[in-house]
Amino acid sequence: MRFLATLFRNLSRHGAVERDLDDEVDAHLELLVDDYRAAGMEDAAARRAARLELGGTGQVKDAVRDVRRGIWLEHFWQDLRYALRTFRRSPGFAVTAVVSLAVGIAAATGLFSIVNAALLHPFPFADSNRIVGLGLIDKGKPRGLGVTVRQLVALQQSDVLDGAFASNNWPMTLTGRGVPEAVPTQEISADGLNVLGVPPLLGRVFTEADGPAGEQPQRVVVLTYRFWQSHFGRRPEAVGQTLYLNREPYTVIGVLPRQYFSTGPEILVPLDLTTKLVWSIQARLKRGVTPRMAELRLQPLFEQFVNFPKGARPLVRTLMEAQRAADFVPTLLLIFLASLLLLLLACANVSILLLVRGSSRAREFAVRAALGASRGRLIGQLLVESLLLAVTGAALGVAAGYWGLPAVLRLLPPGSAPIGNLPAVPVNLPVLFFSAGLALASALICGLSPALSFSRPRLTVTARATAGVESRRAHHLLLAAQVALTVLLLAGTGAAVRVLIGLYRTSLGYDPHNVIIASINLPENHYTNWAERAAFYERLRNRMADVPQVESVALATASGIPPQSGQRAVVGVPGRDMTGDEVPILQRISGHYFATMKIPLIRGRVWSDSESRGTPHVALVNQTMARELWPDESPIGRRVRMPGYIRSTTYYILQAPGSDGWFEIIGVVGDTPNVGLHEPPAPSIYVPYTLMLTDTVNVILRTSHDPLSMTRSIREAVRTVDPYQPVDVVRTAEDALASAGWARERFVALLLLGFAVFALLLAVVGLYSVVSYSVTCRFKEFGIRMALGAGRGRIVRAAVQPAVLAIVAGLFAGLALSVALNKVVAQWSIGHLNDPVVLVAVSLVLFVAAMISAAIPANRAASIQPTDALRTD
Amino acid sequence: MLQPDHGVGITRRIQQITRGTFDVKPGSLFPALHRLEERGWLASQWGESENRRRAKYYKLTAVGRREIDAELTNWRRIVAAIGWAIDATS
Repeated sequence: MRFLATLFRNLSRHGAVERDLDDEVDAHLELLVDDYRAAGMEDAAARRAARLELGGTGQVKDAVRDVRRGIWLEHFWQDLRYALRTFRRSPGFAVTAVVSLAVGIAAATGLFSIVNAALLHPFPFADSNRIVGLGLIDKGKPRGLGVTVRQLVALQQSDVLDGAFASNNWPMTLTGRGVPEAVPTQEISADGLNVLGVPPLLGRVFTEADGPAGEQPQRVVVLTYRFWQSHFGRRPEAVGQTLYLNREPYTVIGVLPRQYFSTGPEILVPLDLTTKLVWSIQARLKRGVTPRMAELRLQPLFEQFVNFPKGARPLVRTLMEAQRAADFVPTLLLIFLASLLLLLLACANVSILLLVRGSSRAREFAVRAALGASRGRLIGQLLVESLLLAVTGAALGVAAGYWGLPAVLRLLPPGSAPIGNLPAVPVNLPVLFFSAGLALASALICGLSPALSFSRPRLTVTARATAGVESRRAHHLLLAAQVALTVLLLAGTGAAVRVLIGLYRTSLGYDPHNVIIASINLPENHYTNWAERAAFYERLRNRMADVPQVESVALATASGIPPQSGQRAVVGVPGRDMTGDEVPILQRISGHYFATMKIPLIRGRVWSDSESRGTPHVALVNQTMARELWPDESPIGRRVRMPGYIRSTTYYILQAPGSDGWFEIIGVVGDTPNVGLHEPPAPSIYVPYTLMLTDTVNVILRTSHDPLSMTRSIREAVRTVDPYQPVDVVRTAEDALASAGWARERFVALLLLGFAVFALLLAVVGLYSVVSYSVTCRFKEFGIRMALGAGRGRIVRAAVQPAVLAIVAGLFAGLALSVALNKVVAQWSIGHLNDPVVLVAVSLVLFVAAMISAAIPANRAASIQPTDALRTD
Repeated sequence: MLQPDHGVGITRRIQQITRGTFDVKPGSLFPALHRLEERGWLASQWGESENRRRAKYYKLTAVGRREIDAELTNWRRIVAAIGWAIDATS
């Protein structure tokens, strides 16, 4: 209490406190005079003695001020105002330093927001580390788990789980609100939202009664915030309204808060628990149960499940673990480290600026020390200056991060990074704390070494008015360190750019330019027999082919745009036993596929339209498959068997009548990167899609003009075939490629490139200030040397040599560092830090930049007039 | 023994009772008085000196007295301990 009271008094009534002190010291003097007079001295002598005893009134008052509470605050305030004044006097320095730090902090803050959202808090659910996905490991490979409803109930009652639920993502067709629309929907068992701990924002979430086991679920729907916003303009009356989904009326019972399901499904309906098997099983672990414990405890239960494969074991993975498998995480961490490196560089640079400036302010410090400033005060003053720079930089940096981050994230198309809800990355409280911490740390890093070295001014040195060789050595050391780290960053960038160039150069085996894909999902209970569905698809294709500017149209069951291709399918070849990775990728397509994609036909032929109407059992293989299976002979005319083609029709897959599973190979086509852009092609077999009609199909169109401008006419064309048929996703092949890897690599490369350019700028600024400071310091020396006959070349060499030596030393240190770190980085990323081409290029760029930045002050050194130099103080 | 007194009085008193050993200069006295006052061990008040001059008088507070007692006890323990240590080793 007392502490606060005195603190408050000292700060708020500063004037009164000071006046009181003045009075007290004056009174003390008078009392002393009285005292000496009483001892028998003359007036004048008594006054003299009193003054002697009191000492300097200023010092006494200062000593009192120094013990006052809150004195540091007062000092801080003084230092702050002083710092502001000095910065106003040298705005160039202040702006350079602030901008350096701002960019460094913006980069680190932005990346931290992404890391924070993606890795630390990607899931909005309460206690999200207890939410797990259940699967199994069969023959060493993870697999999804399908369970019966009774088994799901058994799981719910397990003593290691606090509830379990199944879900299924499937689009539903929304009609009755203008153009029919396919809405991404999650069917979720009724208690799923409770297990996840998702509360309603409006209305209610599902209850047991909405989807009881063994009965048809109620026709109720819960909206995500996104859907509520886009379809109801966030009007609360949405609850209670009716939506027509797959042409059935569903009642809206609730709306979810914004943070849940911010990507993926837009509406939720209860899962139908009358079906045989349910999939995507998720559960909430009981408190204190680890995933590993749960795996052990679930083993006996899983073994009771009749469909549980022998020798398999349960797999329990937290949402986080499932996501860690995503390969973008290490890259993201690597970029985050790069951003911290950049910040470190910015700090080093500001440190250099401060050192250089401090050296030229040595006189000021010497004077202040001589006037009685303590070392603590001088350090405090210097730290306040760097704190001011850092805080201003941080404020600007966070602002830039806040507004710039969405722009940076736009480089990443949705779905390209399987990490949480990236588009919703917020600059939130933890991020702000992080930035504040960064600002403080940068202030300390930048300010400490100058503060320590200048707070001990040596009067003799300073009296000479030229800073010693010693302080310049410190600049050069920092400069070398800065260059070394810059080289590392440049090498990393070079590696990323090379990966990107490699990707663009990858021979795709097809031409993605001007290709667009429209996805068609049949509403449930539509075209339910094979002949009707086949006719509909064919009508659709023919209608699309008539659209102006469409050059060619093909249908494909799976994406059809490598590296997203079909699924592996068992293919039996007489005399050959194929297992594991040899199992080919099956692609079900229409005959126009190769022409549309511009995949070359190497040999043989493609089935014709009229042929495919008769459901011929023919197939084409890619070159890899031809080479692996029939190395020395032609595959044409060979027969292979696909057991998948003799299973019965289900409600969503319609088999062509009369299949015996045997196919005749009629042609060989070129390879495509069908498993990944970095992977060699896998064997692949192409068969007519008509033999097995699914309820989804992709229409691939090659256009003569910008394909995106065709979206409207494509939708129109579909509507003329079936007015109730929605068109799902329309995107270009280049987009698909972008999300398959191009975008990510481009994101990495562009971001690192930005970092590298900035790091290079920092190095240039650092070098420039060091050399120009050294020229200023040695102005007189150079003048004298020139007066004694030294040539300009010699002077330039003297001015530049130490800095150039520092650069070269830093360059080699950086190269060594890159090569040394290559092993560490190689585990995370596909780029190589020890790529000689990159390293040579980096060295050249850096060296040229260094030469240019040193040239200006060097030129100044060369143009010194001896007479001017000798005349300065 | 410890009446309210002003700075000069305190200085003279210290000189007197330590027989001139401690001569506290204002540069040490003032910060000490102010620090003790901020801690609440002293209280100050403007008053009038013997020569009818304005002077600031310092007075020990109850907290200050307790603090002195505690410090004294501690000091006596140290002196005694050092005495025993010296006796034992000489």
